[in-house]
Amino acid sequence: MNNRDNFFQAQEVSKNFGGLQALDKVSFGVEEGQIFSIIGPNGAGKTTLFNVISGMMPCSRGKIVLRDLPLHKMNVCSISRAGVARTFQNIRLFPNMTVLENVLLGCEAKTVQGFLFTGFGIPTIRRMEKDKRERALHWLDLLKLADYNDEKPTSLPYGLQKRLEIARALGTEPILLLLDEPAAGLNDVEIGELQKIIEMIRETLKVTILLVDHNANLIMSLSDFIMVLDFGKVLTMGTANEVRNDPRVIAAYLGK
Amino acid sequence: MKTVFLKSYKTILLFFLLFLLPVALNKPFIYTILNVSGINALTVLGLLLLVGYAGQISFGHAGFMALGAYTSAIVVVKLNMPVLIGVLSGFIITSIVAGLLAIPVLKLKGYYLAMATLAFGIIFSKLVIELKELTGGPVGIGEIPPFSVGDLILHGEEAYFILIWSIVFIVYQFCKNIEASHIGRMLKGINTDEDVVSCLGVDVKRIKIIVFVFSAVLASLSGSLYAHYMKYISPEVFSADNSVFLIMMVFLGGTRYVWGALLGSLLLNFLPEVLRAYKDYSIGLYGLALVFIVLLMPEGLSAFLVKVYAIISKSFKIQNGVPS
Amino acid sequence: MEFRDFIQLLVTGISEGSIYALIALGFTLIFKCTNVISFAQGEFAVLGSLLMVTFSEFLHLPIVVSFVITVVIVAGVGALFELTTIRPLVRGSASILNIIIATIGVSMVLKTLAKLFWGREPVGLSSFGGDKPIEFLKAFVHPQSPWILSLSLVILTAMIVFLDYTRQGRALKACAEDAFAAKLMGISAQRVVFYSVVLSAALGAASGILIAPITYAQYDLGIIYTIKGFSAAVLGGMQNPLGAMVGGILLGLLETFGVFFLSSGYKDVITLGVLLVVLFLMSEGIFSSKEKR
Repeated sequence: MNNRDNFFQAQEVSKNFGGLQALDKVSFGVEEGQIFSIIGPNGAGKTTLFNVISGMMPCSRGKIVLRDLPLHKMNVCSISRAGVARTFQNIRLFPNMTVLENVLLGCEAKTVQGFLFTGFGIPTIRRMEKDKRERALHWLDLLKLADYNDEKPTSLPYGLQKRLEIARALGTEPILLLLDEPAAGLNDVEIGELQKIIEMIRETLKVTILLVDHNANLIMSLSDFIMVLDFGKVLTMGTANEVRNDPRVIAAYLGK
Repeated sequence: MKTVFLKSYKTILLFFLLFLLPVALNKPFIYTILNVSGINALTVLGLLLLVGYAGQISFGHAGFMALGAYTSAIVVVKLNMPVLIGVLSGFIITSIVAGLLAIPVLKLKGYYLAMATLAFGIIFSKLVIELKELTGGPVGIGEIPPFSVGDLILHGEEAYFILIWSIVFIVYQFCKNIEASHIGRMLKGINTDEDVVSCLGVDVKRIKIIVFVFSAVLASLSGSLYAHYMKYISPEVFSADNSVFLIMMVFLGGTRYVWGALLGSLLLNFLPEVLRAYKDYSIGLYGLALVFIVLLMPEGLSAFLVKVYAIISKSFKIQNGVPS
Repeated sequence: MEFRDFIQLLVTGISEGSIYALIALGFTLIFKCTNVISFAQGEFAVLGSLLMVTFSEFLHLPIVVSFVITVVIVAGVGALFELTTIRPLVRGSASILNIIIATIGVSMVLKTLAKLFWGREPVGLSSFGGDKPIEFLKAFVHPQSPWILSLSLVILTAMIVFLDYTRQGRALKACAEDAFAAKLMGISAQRVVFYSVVLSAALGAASGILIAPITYAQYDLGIIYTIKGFSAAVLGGMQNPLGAMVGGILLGLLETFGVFFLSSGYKDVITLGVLLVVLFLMSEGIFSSKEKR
């Protein structure tokens, strides 16, 4: 790790559940604008790592720092407002709302709530709602979901539901996006589109991405840097080529 | 303001019809039922937001009604203050209590939240009975002055109808605005998956507390109005059973549409009259109704009626050769 | 406080506590199998107490016979409850809110039935062992107390043996932990749920019967039994019979000793206060205790 990594850093992050050590002194740094991938066999602790970074679980030990902000001391809401967004391995959309409403919820992060104002129908609130709508429609458009605005998420094909989760996460206008197995369950065509979307998010939106996935092609083509986890520990880290040829990585994957 | 009235002409018409109902049927006592329904509706509207939308179940809201009722009664009867001060005091005390309670209580979820609020409701009614010097104990407080604003003293059922249902109208519009707004979205999101809503940068804790306190204050208003309308309150009126009754109104009326709250209150205040002969069985029948609703129409009667209406009007259009 | 008072309070506390323990066990059983907390639990205790009065006092049947018939009947009601309410709820993956409302609805139905058949007035049940207070360590305790203590101990021990050492019992335990593994053992999850509900109803009935000579049987005690049993269950951890017993007795003791220092009107306030404290303490530690996926 060099000092260009002061965008995001994890230092000796550990998490145990009773007797199980899910994460063991995981340390890594991410540069701004990087696509940093985390791979490893099932149960290696990748989703736990995301849970800890996003604040959904506290870490047992260690530090997580985003541009000088100590994420490990913050709660979920504050971490999100600091600019961290995520998608989920098993899609967690809101089935009782439309596609548009799902993304609109994503756009709430930086707005005022104004309970009493809203109840009394003050025009300012309605204007803010219009702005939110425009932003939400923009995200849906960008991710090519605009045709489904008024549908329920459950009526969308699986691949599009995953894309919707990304749109919703983008609504919070993050600086760091955690993608948890975005390619799982997608066919090759959809994976190709996903790759373009991720690249676009990095190039156009200038969002730093932490990517967890099992699809080797996707990881190899996209990643600037890869970290391999196994049994909660960092096995190795490096560029795509370095990792691809590391015998330990091959053993870890084949061994499972 | 004008737009509000124009858009809600249907509601105003409905309230007007309700006003005429006792006259039309020549049964003035119906005003009492309508008035109590209206009073309940205020609490039920608040509960609709809290329970129906945000999914935070509370079996203790009769306790907040009691807080409003007793505070107002004590302030007016024992301290000789005007009624509005009494009602305002009820608001203040209730917001403080609800605010303090909300912080630990809303950390609980599901069954634990339900049990905790039930526990609060029971504790509260026991406290009311025990603190005899303040609350009159099991005997309650009587001879509560009627509702008055300055020199205007309210007399007669019609006057109370206008007072109560005007307030209901305002609160109803307020709740409709909330439901249709970004806050309504947040509440529904919280109901489905609270953690994800947090992940989207929404301060879930804060909004839950706001809605909780709001619903408590509405209950307090409800209780204060009850005190000055009935002019007598006792612990029985605000027991744990009544908290359950209020929740019943929410679910019977339905959580899909805000007017479900009005439907629920009216139904559960009129039904006991209709079922007067079966008074002892009535709770059991309501219980059965609840089970049926949960199993067959979980969104309540209002959603059911809307669906039925849609089916009927569709078949009408087909019959008349009009493409639907 | 004199030693005599202390003994009296101790015995009363443990007696009432074991009642709570039995109801708590009922909660725990259903919860472990279905993740449902049944708000109707207390009503089974009420039914048990009232039926027992009918058979024992009005029909003058021998105590043992009445006990058994009552438990069987209430177990039958429990079976009905499972078939009509629990099963469709679990199968339809109803939301927690809906489950709560449904079980409350059932409790209202049961309460009304109780009022219908037995009226509003409390009815008394003779203690199993006669009417004279028993002298124990220089204190006078209610003659029903030894019966409560011994019988609840027997029942709880039987439950522990059943759940840990019999095939069916282990199936019940397994059902909660891992429904798939249970299936591999040739156990149908549906049947296990059914028996857990029936068993809970029976336990509830037993607890109602045992406490009736002290508190009288009355149609509207259901809610109080429910919430106190639940408090005991939470106190004991909702995991196993031992926890239920510990939780129940602890709650009973806290309640009885608390009442000694405050007035008797505050009895329920104390118990419920304990529940609230425990719930709040628990919620502070609820980060990863039950993550719903």
